[in-house]
Amino acid sequence: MLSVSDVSVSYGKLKVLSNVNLEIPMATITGLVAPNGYGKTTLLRTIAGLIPFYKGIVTIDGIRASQRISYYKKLFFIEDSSVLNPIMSPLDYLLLVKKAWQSGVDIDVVVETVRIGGFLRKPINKLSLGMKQQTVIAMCLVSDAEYILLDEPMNGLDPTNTAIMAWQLKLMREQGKSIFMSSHLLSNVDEITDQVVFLKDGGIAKLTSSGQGIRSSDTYQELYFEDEGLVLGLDVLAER
Amino acid sequence: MVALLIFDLKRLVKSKAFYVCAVFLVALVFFPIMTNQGFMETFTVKAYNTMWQSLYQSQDPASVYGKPDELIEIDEEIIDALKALIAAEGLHDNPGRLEAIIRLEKAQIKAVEQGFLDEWYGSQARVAFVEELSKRGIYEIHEKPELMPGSIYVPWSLSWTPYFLWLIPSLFVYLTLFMSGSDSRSRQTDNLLPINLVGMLCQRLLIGMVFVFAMVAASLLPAFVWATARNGPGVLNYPIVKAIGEGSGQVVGVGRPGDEVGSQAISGQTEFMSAGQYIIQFLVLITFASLFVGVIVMLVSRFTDNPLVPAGISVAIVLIPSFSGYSSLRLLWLLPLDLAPISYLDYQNVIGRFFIPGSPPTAFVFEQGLLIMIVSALVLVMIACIIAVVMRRA
Repeated sequence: MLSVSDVSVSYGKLKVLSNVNLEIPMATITGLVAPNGYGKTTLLRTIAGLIPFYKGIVTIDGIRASQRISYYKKLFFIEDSSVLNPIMSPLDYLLLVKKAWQSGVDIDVVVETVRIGGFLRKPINKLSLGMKQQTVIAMCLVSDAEYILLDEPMNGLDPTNTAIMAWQLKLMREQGKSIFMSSHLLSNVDEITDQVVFLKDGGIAKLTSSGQGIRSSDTYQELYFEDEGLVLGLDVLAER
Repeated sequence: MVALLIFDLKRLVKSKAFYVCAVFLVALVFFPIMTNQGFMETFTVKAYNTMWQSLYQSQDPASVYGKPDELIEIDEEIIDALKALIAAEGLHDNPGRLEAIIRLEKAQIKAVEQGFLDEWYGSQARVAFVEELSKRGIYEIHEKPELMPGSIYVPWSLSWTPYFLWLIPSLFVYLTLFMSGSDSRSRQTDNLLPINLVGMLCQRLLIGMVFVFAMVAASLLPAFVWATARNGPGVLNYPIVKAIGEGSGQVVGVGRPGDEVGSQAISGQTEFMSAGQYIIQFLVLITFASLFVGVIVMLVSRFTDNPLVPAGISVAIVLIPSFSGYSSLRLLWLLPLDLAPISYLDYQNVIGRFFIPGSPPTAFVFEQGLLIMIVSALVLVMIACIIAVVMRRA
């Protein structure tokens, strides 16, 4: 289990996260929802150990980030596909991940599953956004890490690629992986996640589970749309 | 660690910047060779005067009188040599010119040995000699490099080359910095790999060194191939002069025992090493320098996400000691001269074929280096300010 206990993060005087507590069970997809600037990426980066100074404890199966190799073997996080080096190819990254994570996963099987064979050896800068996101997913699978963090993985994808991405995430869950992903695409969040975390004022404002039958868009409006006129306007637009 | 190393090597090989840099260095070294202007050797007027002064100081003034016949004889020898020199002027590859210089210097040595130092200083021959040199703007004696088989020549004597002497280390450091994954974006990916930090540090240093090695090889290879193609491969144990006489200056050059370098015969006092030893020393120097730069970059980049900061600091650290040659490095690091980090950057000494008794070659470029350092610092500050403003607006 990935456990976040009393985590607080500040950037100078600005407090971004305040006493966040969260547990992500095995073989689940957890959504992370909030408007821009509410600390979604900061929470993911804190779990990934990229925020050097924070209060609280983050553990994966009882292991803290200070036990570097054990911790990172269980975790896979790439903030977004833009961090991939543009001159390298998906294959280069898959080989790196396989060796670094000492994974037993067959790259050929992943390539076939994620359908990246057509651009496996092309440089990243020749790939579309969808292809890059597929590459990141392939890297997740090759790493065989148990916990996967994704920051808005469906951003900028067309409906076809969004559907492919959703299918791939479900596939990973079936393989026993836990996925913690931020997203603004609330309908997708409802479709694929087991639970949804809503961040507000630096803390967790609400945690819903798919069994409750609550639409994320409703929770979103309830939590973040303080202007009632805006809510009404959006409703009218939705009806049309 | 091996996984990341392989990945970074691929990244290096695939990078256009790597090849642009290599081509730039090759052009820098090779262009003057093709135009036949860059080969220079060795014996500057400054060095000549330094040598002369040191001889003067060693003389007993009481003995410097008398023997007018011998003085006249020596003076005639000098004038003859000077005439030969003037006759050979303008032909850099004229063997007579070098011969005339050697005759001239021999005559001077003879004058000193026989106690005619003061007379020689005031003599018509010396005045004429100095006037001739000044009139023609001669500060160096050129010799065809092809005479030396398999030797490596780096044309740093051109007027603009001191600037490149400072530019190239900067280029090494900047590119090593960016390509070894120390910039913040790449670092984020690397930092999430399940590899221990020491291994990652070693890997980054290693890849930085590979880059520096490759660049040095790229810059030297064409010149070496060119010289070898023209003159044959030479022999590996061809002796390289490490120091001449009492070691008054740092000297590295090519020669054999018994050869004459300027007025000094390479004698038992001279230290030699074989080309093999020289290459090993060179590799050791590069290794030390790369480690040194790599550690600085790594340490600094731990404290900032802005790649300009470690770049600026590491360049400053590389360049500042180079201004004053080796001496400051010896004081700072208490290392043997040959093993001092960064000293390989002093190409003039390490790679070039210099015989300059008296003063380290870096003395020639100190002022330019200082000026460039100040300008570079200003440029860096300006770039940092521009980036900061742009990022704030974004």
